[in-house]
Parts: sequence; structure tokens; C-alpha cells
Amino acid sequence: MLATQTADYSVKNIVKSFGGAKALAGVSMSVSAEEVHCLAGENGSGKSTLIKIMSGVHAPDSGLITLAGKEFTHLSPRQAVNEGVQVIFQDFSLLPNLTVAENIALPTNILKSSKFIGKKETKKIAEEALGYIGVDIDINSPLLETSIASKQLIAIARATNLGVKMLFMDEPTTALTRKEVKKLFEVVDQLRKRGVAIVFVSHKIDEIQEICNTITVLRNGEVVAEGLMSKFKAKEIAMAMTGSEIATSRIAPPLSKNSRALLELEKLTSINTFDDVSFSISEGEIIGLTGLLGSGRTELAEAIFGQYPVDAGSIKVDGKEVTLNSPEAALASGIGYVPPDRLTQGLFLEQSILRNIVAVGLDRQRGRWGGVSKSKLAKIGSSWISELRIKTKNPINPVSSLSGGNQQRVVLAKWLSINPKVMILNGPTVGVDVGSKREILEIIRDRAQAGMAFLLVSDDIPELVQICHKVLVIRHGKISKEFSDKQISESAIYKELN
Amino acid sequence: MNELRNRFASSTLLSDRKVTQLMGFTLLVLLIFSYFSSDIFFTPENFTSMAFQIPEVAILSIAVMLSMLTGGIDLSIVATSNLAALLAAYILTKNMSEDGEISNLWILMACLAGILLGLICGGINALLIAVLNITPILATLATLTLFNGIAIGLTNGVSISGLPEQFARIGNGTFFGVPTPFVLMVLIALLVGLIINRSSLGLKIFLIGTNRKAAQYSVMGDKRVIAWTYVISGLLSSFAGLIIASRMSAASPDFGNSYILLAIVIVVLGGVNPMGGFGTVTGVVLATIVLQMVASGFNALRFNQFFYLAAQGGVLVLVMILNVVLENRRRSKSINKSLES
Repeated sequence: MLATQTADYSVKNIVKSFGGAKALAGVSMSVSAEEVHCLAGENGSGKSTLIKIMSGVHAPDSGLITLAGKEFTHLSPRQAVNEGVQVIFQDFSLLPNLTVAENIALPTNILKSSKFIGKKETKKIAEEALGYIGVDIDINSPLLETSIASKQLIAIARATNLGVKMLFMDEPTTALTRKEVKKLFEVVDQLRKRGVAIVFVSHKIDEIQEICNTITVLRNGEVVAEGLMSKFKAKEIAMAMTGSEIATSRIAPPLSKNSRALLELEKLTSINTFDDVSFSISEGEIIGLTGLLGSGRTELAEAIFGQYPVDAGSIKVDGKEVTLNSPEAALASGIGYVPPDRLTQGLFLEQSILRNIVAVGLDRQRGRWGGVSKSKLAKIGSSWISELRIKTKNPINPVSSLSGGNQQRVVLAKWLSINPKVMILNGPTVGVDVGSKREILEIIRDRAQAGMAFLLVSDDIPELVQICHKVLVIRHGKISKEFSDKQISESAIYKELN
Repeated sequence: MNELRNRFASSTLLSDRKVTQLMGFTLLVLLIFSYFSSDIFFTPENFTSMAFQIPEVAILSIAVMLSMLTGGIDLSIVATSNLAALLAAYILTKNMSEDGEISNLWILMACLAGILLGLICGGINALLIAVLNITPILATLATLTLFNGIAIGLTNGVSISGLPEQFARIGNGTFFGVPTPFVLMVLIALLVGLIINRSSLGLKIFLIGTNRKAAQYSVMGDKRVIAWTYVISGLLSSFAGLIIASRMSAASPDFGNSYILLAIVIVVLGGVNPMGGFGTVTGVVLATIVLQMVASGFNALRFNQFFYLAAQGGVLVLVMILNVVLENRRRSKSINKSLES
């Protein structure tokens, strides 16, 4: 039901500027209890600002916030919590050194201003909270040892404890596998039935269509579409978000018949991780590799990059058998690897965009006396900035100043700049918005057309369908199914995964 | 393109701003002491004496800076420099005649032996830290004790003095009117500056200091780079040790123990990020100069010597507060700017 009159939680004509720039230009949105409301929009569209205003982090310049019938011109975080507003941020804001129980109970204890915390009390609070959302997690284990999916559920449990009436979830499915997403959706649905108003922020259109009842799409700080979810088609949502039509058609480039194999795996085995894996990638070919977390897909990718030990089997690069026992060896034989976690593994966040781009293969730039010329590095960096259309005013700005999509392009540029024969991409579009995603896929396609071989490890099935010539599904360390060309479809892959 | 080159050249802007601040601060300290004590502080004699005292601390500080840029630290610098100095002093005293005459070849040999020992000490640190993955602060604390212990054990804690005149002349001499140690310091600073700014090793040092994991995934041989920083640190320490021995005409197993903390303080004061990734040689040298001027100025003003340490600490606290305040203001400004764009 979308009816503004009965809406329990709403904002009206919210305007918010930061130093002269309008982040929100008169945004209105309403969410009622027993509703999962999708808040969609690209990076920089104003989603986060809106969440921060409704949770009391920022005060709006003008406009009205209504929470459970009470009207506010601005909120303090404490007021927001008292009115039942909770936000689960992308990083969950959990404390890794505490146990699951302590994490769940801590905010409750803080809210009650408890001076002393009892272990029994803590466990009781945690058990009740987990019971409430119907999940079973060992509350005594340290948070450090729990999976990302569990952390997500722990964050939800923590929120319910504080008497949640309105819950913001910021891209909750980013790091989850399909199975875990399903479990998460069950929990979300249960919360909804118990009368919680949920605002679900996500880039993944298939998922929002699955779980959300209503939708508000923001672009450049304005509402560009809103209404019942059922009235929107996937294409329309994508178009509203980006302002232009985003193609989702297959763009895998045609393969030439007699291209030579650049990477050949023969019965590659790493005990207890992956077993008897054989496949080959030829010039210009893009092979997708997917599987649940723990299926061995990341380990397989890292084994090809020399980062993970191999017990048996052989690897051939461009026809020559190689021993890849270190990343150095992999790099030397022409293999590049974009790791899954952009922020901790891919980027030097505080360093400049230029320095990030030239980070791989610095030794190849060495001139006489072992020196590297700054102007040469600047030239390489700026040519990749324009080649991959990285949006920045100044290439010496720290790479942390870029949006997710542009950051990912920097990681890509870093590896493309040394022109590897085989490029392994692990989750290249995680946390990247719809428009950028397609552009990154187009970059991959263009490189493949120029002859580079790609192994694309990803959870994002639509993405695999769009770009891959062949998709391999890995399960308990073994390739369980291989889809090629016409067999590749989202439904077939989903079916194999679950 | 030219503009871009300039931008890249100043890509360590964050630390460059700190250098500008330090320059202002140096000038301020200079003006204050010159104003209040123009007859003693602002004299060629005083500047010459400062120029003799600055180099040894500056070189040790540059050594610490290198390891700190990768996110590590080298506590064994002073122990290494004493060990190198003692070896050189031993060789010198063994091979000089009764009246203190020695051939230039033996002086050269003694210096080379000291430098080689410095390289070995640095190599041991490199082995522990880069290869065996021991936390730098623990590894170098252990080698600090080890090197110090060896020095005390072999000398029974007694210093070797009465080094040959020719050797002492190096550290006390001048080169076109400038004290030789100061000239050596400038050369070393230039060389290290060249390494960290103009070589792939230098760029790797900054990147590793920013994010070791990303450096591993970028295949830049992080272990080798880190090993190099400790080897160079050992080398620089031995230089400092030789300069001290020459200036003092003696080598002692426990000389300059307070220099360890002083060097760390100077490095941080000089704008090097203790977490690694950012810093400049210029900053470190300027910071050494500031502290030396405060020491000399204090002396010149005939303040109570016992309060000198407090004054030095006060300067540090002041500069750090200034750093934080300016950094915060800059950050909020840049946030506003990025939101506007």
C-alpha cells in the first residue's frame, strides 16, 4: 500500500546543501509500516545524505521530517534512535574484537546507560534478538570469526533490540552469495510483517524487484521516479537511476576460430580447496567463474596468480608450461590479477591517482641509473585516466576522493597499463553503480577484442551473462557445470548455484 | 602536460605543506633568538658550531625516516653507529705509530670497515623484519640490545680515545668554510632524497607504507623493498658513527643513547607519517635544524640549562598542535570543496 496519508515515516521537501552544492533539492519520500521501500540511485545521487538526515546525523536546511506521527525540523541521533530509526551501514559498524553477544547487546546497554554489564544479561539480550529475527548464530564466538552474511544478520539483530520501527539497510547484499541473500530476504520479510518500515538501498535491480514493495529513485538530489514496485520494469528503474538507457544485452565480442590458447589449466589441484580443475582461455576470450563463497573460486583465481599453493596439475601460459609459486612469477609470465576487495587489496587510498595507476610494473619504467622519470609516469597515468574515462579534476588527488566506479577503473588501469596476456578479475563491479558497471564491462570487452584473455570471477550473474563467452560454476572445489554461448542464461546459472 | 608534470612532482603535497610550515617555524625560531640575543646567537661562530652539531643527528634521523616511511621503525641506529665507530677506532689506534701518525690508506680502510659493519647490522635487521616477518619495533629493540651488548662486551665499556690527528681533522675541518660534516649531511640528504623521489625503490617505499597488502597484490617485491630500507638505515648509521668518532676523536659504546628518541621525535616533527606512506627528507633536515637552534638559542640566552629539555619538548608539543589544527582545517576545507564539485 502506498498511501501518503497513512505513512508513518516521511520526509517532505528536504533541502540540504554542503558549501553551496545542493545534495538534496526538495526531496519527499514516505514509508509506511509493513513495507519494504527501495531507495535507489547512483553514487552521489543523495541517498546517503537522505539516510543521514532521517537518522539525525545531518540537519536539513529546510523541510519536515515525520517519525511515527511526530514532526521534526531536525533530529539528533539520539532522538532518531528513540523514535525507532536504525541504520545498518555497509560496513555494519560492528566491533570485531567482541563476541557476537556483546556486539548485539552493547548498544542496548549504552541506551540504558548501564554502568555495569553482566555476561548473563548480555547473552539474554543477544539470544532474544536473534530469536526475534529467527536466525541461529553462535553468540559466544568472536565476531572476527563470523562470515559477512552472519555479520549482516547480527547487525539486524542489534537494530531490533533497540526497538526498531524504521530500518535503513545500505546495500546489504553487496558481499553476499545468492543463498545468503535469500536468507537475508526471509529475515527482512519477517521484520516487515512485524510492522517495521524498511528502506532498502541497493544497486542490484533484480534484488530490489524481489524484495521491495515501493520505490523512490533519486538522481542529482531529486526524486525522479516513485511508486509501487510492480509498476516498474527493470529497464525503467535503471533508466531512472542513470537518466539514460542502460543496455543489459550481451556484449561478448565475437571470437575468432583459430585463436591460440593463452591460459591452460590441466588438472589443477590444491588439497581441500579445489580439485582437478581444467579449462583454457584463448586470445580474446572472456570466461566467467562463479560459485558460492567458500566454493574455492577465489582460491583458484589466486592460485593462478601465484598467491595460493597448488599441489598438483599444470598451468600453461601462451603454450609454455610455467610454475606459478609467487605473484612475481605470475606477473613475469603475463598474468594480471584484480583482487576482490578494492579498498584493502586494490588501492593505496591516501596516495594519488597517478601513483596508484603506475604501482604495478614500476621496474619496467626504470631508466638509466635505476631512476624513474616523473614526467614519464605522469604521462602513463594521464593517458589511462583519459583512456578509461576516470572522472577527476586533478590526477594528484588521493584515490580516496573518487567514487566506487572510478576507483575500480584505477585498479583496472593499474593492471591494464602493463598489458598482461591473461587478466583475472575478481568481483570487478562490486559496489559500483549501474551506469559505471556497464562501462567497466565495455572496457573489458574492448580489451578482449584487442586479444587479452579474461577470467572473470563474480557473484553478479547478470554481469556474467552480459559479457562472458563461457561460464564455469564451481562447487566444493570442482567445476560442476560449464555453460557456453547460447546456454548462458541467468536462470540456468542460478539453478546450478542453489 | 607541463602542468601535469608539476602536479605529479608535487604529489606529496600533504607533506610538502608540512615542509612549508616547518620552514616558517624555522624562520620564526631564528628571528626570535636573533632578536633577543643578537650578540651571541646571531654570530658566525654560533652558526658554525650548530653546523657541526646538526649533521650526526640529521643523518640518524634520515635513517629512521626510511624505515618509518614503510610503516616500520629502526631503534638500532645508535647502537649500529657506535659499533661502526668502535671498529673504525680500533683499526685506527692499532695501526698508528707512537706519535699518532697513520697512512691515509689505513684511514680509508678503517672507514670502509665501519661502513661494512653498518651494512651488516642493517642486513641483520632486514633479515629479521623482511624475511622472518618480525615486528620492526621488536626486532630492532632486540638488535639494539645485541649490538650495544657486543660493543660494551668487547670494550669493557671503556671508550677508545686518542684517535689519529688526521682522522679527527675530517670531522672538525671545513670545506670552503662550511664544516665538513655539514657538507656530508647535505650530500647524504640529496642522495636519499633522490632515492625516495626519483627511483622506483622510493615510490615503492611510499606505496608499501600506505598499504602493504595492496603492494603485495601489485607485485612490487615488498619484502625486498623493506629489506633495503633497513640496510640503507644501517649504512647511514655507520656514516653518523664515523662522523661522531672523527669529531670527538673517540668512540664509545654508550655515546648518544638519547639520540634514538630524539631521532624519532625529529622524524615525526619533520612531517613523516608514523604509520608510513608520507614524508620528506627536507622536513626531517629542517626539524633537526629547528631543534638545534632552540638548543643553541637557549644557551645563548643563558637560560637555565636544566630547562633546555623542557623547552625542546615544548617546541614539539607546539608544532604537533599546529599540525593537527592546520590539518583539520585543511580537511574540512577539502571536504567542502569535494562536495561542491
